[in-house]
Amino acid sequence: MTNDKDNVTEKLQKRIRQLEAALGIVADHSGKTENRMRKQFEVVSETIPVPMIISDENGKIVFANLNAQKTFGYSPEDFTGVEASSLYDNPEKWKLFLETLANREEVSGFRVELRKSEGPVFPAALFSREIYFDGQDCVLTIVHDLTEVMALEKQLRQTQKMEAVGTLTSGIAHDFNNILTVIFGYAQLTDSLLDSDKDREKKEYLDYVVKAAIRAKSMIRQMMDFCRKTEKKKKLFHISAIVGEVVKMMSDLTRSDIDIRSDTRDKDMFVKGEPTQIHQMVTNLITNSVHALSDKGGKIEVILEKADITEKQRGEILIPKPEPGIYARITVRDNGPGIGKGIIHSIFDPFFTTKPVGQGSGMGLAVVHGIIRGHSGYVSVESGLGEGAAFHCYFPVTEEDDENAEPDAETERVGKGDESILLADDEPMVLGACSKFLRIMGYSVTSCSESMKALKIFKNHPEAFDLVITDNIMPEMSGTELSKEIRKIRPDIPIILITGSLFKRESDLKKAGIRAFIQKPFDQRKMGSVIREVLDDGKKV
Amino acid sequence: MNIEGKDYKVSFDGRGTLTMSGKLAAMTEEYEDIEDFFEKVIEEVSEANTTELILDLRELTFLNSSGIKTICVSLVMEADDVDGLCLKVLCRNSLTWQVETVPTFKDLMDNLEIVFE
Ligand SMILES: Nc1ncnc2c1ncn2[C@@H]1O[C@H](COP(=O)(O)OP(=O)(O)O)[C@@H](O)[C@H]1O
Ligand SMILES: [Mg+2]
Repeated sequence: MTNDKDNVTEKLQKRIRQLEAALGIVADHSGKTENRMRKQFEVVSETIPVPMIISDENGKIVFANLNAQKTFGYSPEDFTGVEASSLYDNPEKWKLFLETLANREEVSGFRVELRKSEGPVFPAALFSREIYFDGQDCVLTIVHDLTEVMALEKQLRQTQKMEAVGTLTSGIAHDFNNILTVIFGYAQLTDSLLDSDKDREKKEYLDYVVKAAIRAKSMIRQMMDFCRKTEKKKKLFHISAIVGEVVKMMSDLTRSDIDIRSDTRDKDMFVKGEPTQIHQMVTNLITNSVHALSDKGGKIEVILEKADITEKQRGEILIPKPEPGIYARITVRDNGPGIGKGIIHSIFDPFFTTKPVGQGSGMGLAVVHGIIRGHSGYVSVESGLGEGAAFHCYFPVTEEDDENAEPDAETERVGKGDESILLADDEPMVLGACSKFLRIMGYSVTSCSESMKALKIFKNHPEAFDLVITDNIMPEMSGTELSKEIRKIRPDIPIILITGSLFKRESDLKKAGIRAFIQKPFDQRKMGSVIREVLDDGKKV
Repeated sequence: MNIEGKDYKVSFDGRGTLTMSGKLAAMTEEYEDIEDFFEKVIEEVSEANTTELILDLRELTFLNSSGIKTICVSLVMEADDVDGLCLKVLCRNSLTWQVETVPTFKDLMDNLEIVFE
């Protein structure tokens, strides 16, 4: 009896030991199996080239693959425990996402704005499913980053807009120029009927008309520049020379509480294209900065340097997506109010402006963009409200001996001279700038803001001057009238007329003894070459 | 005599060889059929006084933990209760789960032989 009992007890004890052992085996096996599956899962998740995230029922992230770590900028340790909702720019969207997932069991192509750890937001589409992971119900999400796709879309839209404007502009620019010519013509005619003393006020109003028309003309010029397909033959030129010239010109024309500085870090870079266009581009950018600083003054930096577009910069460049490589980079940076998020994507659009009517054409940056594209370059903008603004313009750098092209000799030759010039302009700002230009070019300059006074000076020393440059619209005596008087004293003296427009017939100019004219707005290069032409022409005869 | 599932097959040749093949990842309830099957096999071999039962796992590439539990409890531990029965398990070196798990069966049964190939 006792024996039997002992036997049963012994058997039971053995069974218990065995069951304990079996439990150990099962647990061990399942741990190993799970480990293996986990490893396979990790290999898969690290191999797929998209961010993948698993979050638990409470919305805490329990797993994020390498690509997700890179995309969102979290380290693996930081990532686990992050609230999935904090990856959403708008947390409400996260709730909507969960609702959609609950209703349909899977989510496919859910459009959201996601937020990186350092703050930047990017567009994405989400693909999700519920899964069982690490012993709990979870949500697996694949993130499709749409940044690049959207940049391409935007580029396409931009190109289309530019084309539309191009077609429109070339059609209307011609008509507009004709209309403006009529305005200039009659304004001038009316002006000549008015008495400079009695009708002073009327003359002043008329002057406003002419000034507005000049602005309209320069707008049309910009639009034409923008549309002109670069059919002109491209040449190699020294980009630092152009940049230096613009900075000099702009700082002469700008109030002293705005400090314009240039910093040329790499001098010997040759770019292929049209120097006047680069000139125009830098002018437009600096003009915008000057405007941005007009309230409080500030600093504008123009930096020229060699730069390679790296992967990082590729991300921030707006239009279009650049090829990596070596570029000449012109940066125009100011410490003004900056550009808000809401409009930064529109600033390159033709006619987009935040300035009051009459102050902005909205064409400045569109032209900048057009010029850069014409040179196979790229432009990016770096700005935020209160952070100032920096425009980076990238141009492919060409080796000097490439295609045996001569570096632009014109740049060096243009406008050097030592002759003596009498300069008359009633606008002190223009007068100051012009005389500075001329002195920089080596001329000796006598400047005068009143036409009567200019005539007096000339009368007293007719042989002292080699050339007279005069503005046309001046009180007391117009440029044409002044020319006639001067020619009476010395018929051989060459005269250049500065005009806001071309309302004079060329024969009229000839009659007044005017050899050439410079159209406003002009730049130093243009002025320099016209002066040389006139002076050298005189020598030949 | 055999049982077939979606990816697996368990069969007994009626003499002394029990073969499991394929991938077995069933849930606990599904293993009840296999448990019954093992019970019948043990009955047959003990009635026939068989001295060696061969468990051929060489074509069983995957087995989840519920499967391990079923083999441990319903087959190995029951076989251990049959006097004079030796259990011989045929395994494959290339299947990691077998290398890791099958040797631990020895904890449940002394008269157990494991052959790896
Ligand atoms: N440096 C800058 N700082 C702040 N805002 C700028 C700057 N440059 C351009 N912008 C913004 O971009 C808009 C478009 O510029 P642009 O195309 O040159 O046209 P416009 O100067 O005629 O307005 C400006 O109206 C302004 O809002
Ligand atoms: Mg502008």
